[in-house]
Amino acid sequence: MLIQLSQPLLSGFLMGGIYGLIAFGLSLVFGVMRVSNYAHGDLLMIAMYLAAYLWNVFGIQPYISIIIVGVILFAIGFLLQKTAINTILKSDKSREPIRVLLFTAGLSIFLQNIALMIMGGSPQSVTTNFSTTTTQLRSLIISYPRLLAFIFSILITMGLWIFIQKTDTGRAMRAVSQDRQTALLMGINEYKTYSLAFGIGAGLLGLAGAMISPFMYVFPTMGSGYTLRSYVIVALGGIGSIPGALIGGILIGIIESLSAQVMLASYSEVVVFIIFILVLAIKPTGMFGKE
Amino acid sequence: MIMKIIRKQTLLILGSLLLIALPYIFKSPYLVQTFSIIIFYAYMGCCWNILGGLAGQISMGNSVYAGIGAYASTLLFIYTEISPWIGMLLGGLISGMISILIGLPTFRLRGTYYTLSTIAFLTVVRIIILANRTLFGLETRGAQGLLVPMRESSLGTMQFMSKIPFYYIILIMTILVSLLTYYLKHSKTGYYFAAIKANQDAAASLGINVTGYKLICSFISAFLTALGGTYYAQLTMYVDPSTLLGNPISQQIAIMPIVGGMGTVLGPIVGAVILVPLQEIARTMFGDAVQGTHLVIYGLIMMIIVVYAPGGIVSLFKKSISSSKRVVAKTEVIQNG
Amino acid sequence: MANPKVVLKLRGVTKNFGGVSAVNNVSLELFEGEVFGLIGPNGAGKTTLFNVIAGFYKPTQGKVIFNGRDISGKPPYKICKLGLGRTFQIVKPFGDLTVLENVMIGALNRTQNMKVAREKANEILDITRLADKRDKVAGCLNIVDRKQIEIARALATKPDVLLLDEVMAGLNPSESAEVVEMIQHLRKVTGISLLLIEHVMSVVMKLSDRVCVLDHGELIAQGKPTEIAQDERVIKSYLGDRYYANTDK
Repeated sequence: MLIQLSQPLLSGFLMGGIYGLIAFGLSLVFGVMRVSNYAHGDLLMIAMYLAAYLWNVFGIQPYISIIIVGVILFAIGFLLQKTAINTILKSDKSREPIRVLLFTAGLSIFLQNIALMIMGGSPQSVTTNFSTTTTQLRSLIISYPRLLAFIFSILITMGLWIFIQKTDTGRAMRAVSQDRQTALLMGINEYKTYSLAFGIGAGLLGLAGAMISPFMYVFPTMGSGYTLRSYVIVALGGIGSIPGALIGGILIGIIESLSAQVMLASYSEVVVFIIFILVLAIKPTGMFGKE
Repeated sequence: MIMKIIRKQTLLILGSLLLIALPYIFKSPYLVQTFSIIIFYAYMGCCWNILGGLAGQISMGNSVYAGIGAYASTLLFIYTEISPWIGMLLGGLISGMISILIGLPTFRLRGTYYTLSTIAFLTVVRIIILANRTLFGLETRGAQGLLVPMRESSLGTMQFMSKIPFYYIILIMTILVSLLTYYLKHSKTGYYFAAIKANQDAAASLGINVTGYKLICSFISAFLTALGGTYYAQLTMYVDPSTLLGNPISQQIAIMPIVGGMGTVLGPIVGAVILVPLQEIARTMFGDAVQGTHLVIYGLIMMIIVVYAPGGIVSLFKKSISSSKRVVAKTEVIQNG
Repeated sequence: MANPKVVLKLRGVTKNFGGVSAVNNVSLELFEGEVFGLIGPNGAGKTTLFNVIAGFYKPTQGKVIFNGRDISGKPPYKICKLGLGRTFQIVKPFGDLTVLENVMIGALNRTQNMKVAREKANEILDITRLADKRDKVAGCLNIVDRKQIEIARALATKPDVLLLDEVMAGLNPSESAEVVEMIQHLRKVTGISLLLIEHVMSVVMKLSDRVCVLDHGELIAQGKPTEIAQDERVIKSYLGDRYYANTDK
């Protein structure tokens, strides 16, 4: 019985690491700016379409285009924050995040439907000769692309940790998220920090999107599932916590994978929803985050 | 001052008269149906507005209650021949209670979690309905949807030979909901909603049971939305899960009040009147083959409004009135030396 | 005053976050009609204590007793309804509403009737000198006005006890003098009991009947303002903090 479980456990674990990376972009934005990004998963969708486009039209392998996609997504995120979201934050009288939520909701609708218009509704993916390669460990089949994506995610996460702890920009972000008033007094440019944070959040989605395109299908409405998962993971793991996002991600990945064994695949969103409700009902502050 | 009140009242009265006379000015059934659809969206927007505009709880999955309402009234009609009007109320009550159940765990936290839960809930209900041909012992037919059985045309069965009664039904519903919105805004409950929307912690510190009021608001909105669902089922004689439980309708009934003017009485109506025809235009321009074009436009407009005119089109209109007043005042000052 | 009534009593209140004790075993009593100052260096746990009293946090240990009733862990709105109000250190005005509407929402705590609420709100606006700004949108006003709104709003809920969290912060001397005057006027007119957190020493000493000092979550001294000013432990806890080297601005 355990052997039968170990396959889904493994794939859930691997996918979970990637979920963690995806969720951390959201966690960062939440922590630094206290705003919501309803279009989080839709940015991931755009990244995946970009990777698919670069492969199908230019023949660029996703493991190379990952850099291009990452940079483009960073630019998109940075510009979004700089032009629109900062404008909202500056003019908002009460600093409640409704307006940013509404803006990103509009963005989400826009992105989903423009993808639908341009790409059509049928799912696409990047199928290279690498896509289906696997290796075997005892009785476990390990798909190389998934393994590689997992390893990349861990590496990027470690890089993020170093960035946040050691670099000036990273420390500025931490300062703004912990104590905005003092950070301002110390001369930190609040809005520039926000733009960088949102850009990085989007950039992470770019990297993740390129990485999972070899083995995941992309379709215009896939974003909301990832948005929901990311919010669940942030609720579980705590805002601003890297280990929290990773562990939360792996937990979600495993639970999803195991439940797919006992029910129809289409019910997997139901499972995430139920986890969501349970997490909200039981642990509003997550496992690692601050209150 | 008096001039301004007279102007606003006359506009409203003229507008209402026009709306009432509309089906007799434009006689074509197609147009009457189209007007009914526009007002239907205005109605649904008003229901959303009570929850989102007044209390600040943004639901992107509100049409789930329309779906629940439509299924409830139609199943009741199929199995028992009980009038859809009664089924409407039943559907409303069921939806209201479900909204409370969902609200209990999700309202405890900051806004976004609630919004996400609304879309997650919509998705879950959609999945469950599409995947099952029977639910709770009743035949729901999954993706096929339910056909509303043709019985004799009467007010009691909410079926008519012409499209005109449907127009008036939704017009009356919309007027009533707008009046409700106006009344709420000026009542203690409405003030409490506004406090919750502005700052929950401050509201709690002033004696407001935040969760309790959110649940009340959610019940009202879900109840009224469900009524709209029954109406739509009767209008189209069909309960279509992929329409009623699809994302587009939920998104549209949120976008229209936001663009028109979130939290205002007329906003949802203005939003529907402007955006629904846009949908038709987009369809004629791009054809049915390319999906989602109108939503691209909606999304874009929504983003622009939220950033540059968060009070919606109604607020722009108000601003132009007050700036023209300033012009009048300035001219008076100049004239009087 | 013989046998003054105790309106608020804290018994061994402790609040832990994770492994850290933000408030540790604090006990105190607030008498009816008195002004009780709560001072201490930054991070001493003063606002945390307020949050526990007002119901925003549940005490890890200990009890909060208000007018003889155990209110420990009750939700904030219930505590307000019982007659204990509070303001926030970082003010939270209802930005899109007018000053009058803001205060009316406070007044609606005690009435269902909008007209009555409007009257009460106008009365409060007169006391707090905000009457001429009644129809202005709260979010557009400056910080001083927003602080006044915060106080006015809480007052409109008709509290027996009001917790004021650093109302003087950010005000210049003439502005704080105005607020001090308003508070003193309030005491005379309503007999309200106040618990204030303050950093501005001159204000605390002038307004308070009694003062207590919190340091690292613990109550290190309690007594009349003049006694506290000379207490060795208090002086030590402040000397360690650079901010207080320049107290009386």
